Amino acid sequence: MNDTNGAVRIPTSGARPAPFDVRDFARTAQGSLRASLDLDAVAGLPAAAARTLRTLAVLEGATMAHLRNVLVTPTHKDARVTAFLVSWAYEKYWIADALHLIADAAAPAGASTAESAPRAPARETGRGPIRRALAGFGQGPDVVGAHLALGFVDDLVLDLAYERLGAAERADGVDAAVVLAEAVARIRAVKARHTRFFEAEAAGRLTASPRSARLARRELARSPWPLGSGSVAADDRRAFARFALGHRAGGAGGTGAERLARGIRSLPGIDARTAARVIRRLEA
Amino acid sequence: MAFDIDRYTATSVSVNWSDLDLESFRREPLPEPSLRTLRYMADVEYHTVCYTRDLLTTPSHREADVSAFMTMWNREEFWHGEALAAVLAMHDITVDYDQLKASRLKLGWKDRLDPIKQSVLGGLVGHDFVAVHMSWGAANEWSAITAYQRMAELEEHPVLAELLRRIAKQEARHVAFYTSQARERLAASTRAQKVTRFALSRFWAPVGSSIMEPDEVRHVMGHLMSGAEGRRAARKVDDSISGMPGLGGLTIVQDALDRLGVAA
Ligand SMILES: [Fe+2]
Ligand SMILES: [Fe+2]
Repeated sequence: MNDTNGAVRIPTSGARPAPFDVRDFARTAQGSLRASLDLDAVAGLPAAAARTLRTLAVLEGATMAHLRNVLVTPTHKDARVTAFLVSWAYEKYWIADALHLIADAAAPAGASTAESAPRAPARETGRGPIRRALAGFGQGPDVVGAHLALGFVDDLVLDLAYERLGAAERADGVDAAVVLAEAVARIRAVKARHTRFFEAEAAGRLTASPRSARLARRELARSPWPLGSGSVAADDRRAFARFALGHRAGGAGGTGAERLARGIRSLPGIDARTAARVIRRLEA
Repeated sequence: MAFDIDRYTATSVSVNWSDLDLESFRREPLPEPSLRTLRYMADVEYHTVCYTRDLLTTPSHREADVSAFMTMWNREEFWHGEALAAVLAMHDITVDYDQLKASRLKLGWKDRLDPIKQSVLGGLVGHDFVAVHMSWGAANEWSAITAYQRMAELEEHPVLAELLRRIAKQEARHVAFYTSQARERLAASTRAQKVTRFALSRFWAPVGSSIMEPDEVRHVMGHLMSGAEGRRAARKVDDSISGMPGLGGLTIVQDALDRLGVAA
């Protein structure tokens, strides 16, 4: 089941993976990526790549709105999960920073179709904190597993875009593409730990509680995808989804959409119908 | 004075204690009442992320600054918790995430109603709620600095004093952010001033009051803020808060000490 999606997986070689060490993650969190970026070399990337980079930057930077929505529910009482989310938001802040810088260097803002300003303000999407908090009354600690599943699936979606950004251009042999591929590889390595946490923690909770799995199916089916897309213009979101889902990677993995569906279904208790709903919302 | 958010994010670090001789606590352990206070402080620091719930997304260019600040601030406060936990560990007191979870589970209904109350309040007063949030944050950060300074003075333990000095230095940057935000929003709106005055005088309580047992709050406030020196420190915090636009005359910290029965 390790090759079901583009996300980096830690090889388990038959044994159960060691539980995720939240303290170690916090201690080794990756800060600013600026020093590793060769911004002069990325000028001249295709406009489509710059547009995707800008959209990714806004999506990665939308952590505080997501944290707020999650923390008004019983998830705020899980100190292990909130400790993880603190460093998760920090790493994503600097990923967004790097993406903004690369996008600006590749194509100055205004030159591309995406008009999102750096660190664009988040718009409300879906249910606000009041409805979430009210819903939280009935959910209890089972909702934590659902939130972790959202984090896992969001990572899968974004990773499809990163994979395409990092792979497609490498073939051209252009300098800018090589530099972008290196930056993308660095970003994916940072994000791989998030994915591993979300996957392991979600799987444990969805397996242990059928109710948690039911809540996860519901949350997955009705969340906006990608999660931070309330901050992205509708046509940028659509272009992003096409870019991520339409890509066919080498090998027998199928399209991005097919691999995403398999990744979603790899979560215990999450069925093909839920996966199809996520993809339908992405494609809408 | 404007707060330079890019400078802040670029220089935000986890508080460092690797060069401090924590083994000295084995030779000169802190007394039990001080450890109890330290434990309270560690819990409060770890719980800081929960305050992110109060964040309202308002259509404002400054919102990006608030998000950037909250990201770094959450992490700095988490590391304050880790630093204090390292001192506690030298006294064989382990703080782990499961225990923290247990203390959050005790919060019950009152806590769960909080975000609803605040969102409703936020919906009613809109932008002005952000002024409340920022002023509230400023009051909490001033209190934190004061608490760490008082603790350092009372213990006269050189290693503890240095660690608390480093933490308080970061709290001072938090004060700078919250006050710059609060001042601007208060100065722009007398309605924001009225709502903030009302919220602070009516609802503010020492940091940690909503998550710790009342006995613990009384212990910590009595330990750090009693007597003439404690009152002087409390007055200083009140002077800072009441120095913000429209908040003149507020004495929320001294009032809280009176309510708790802390001896002056
Ligand atoms: Fe702190
Ligand atoms: Fe602080």
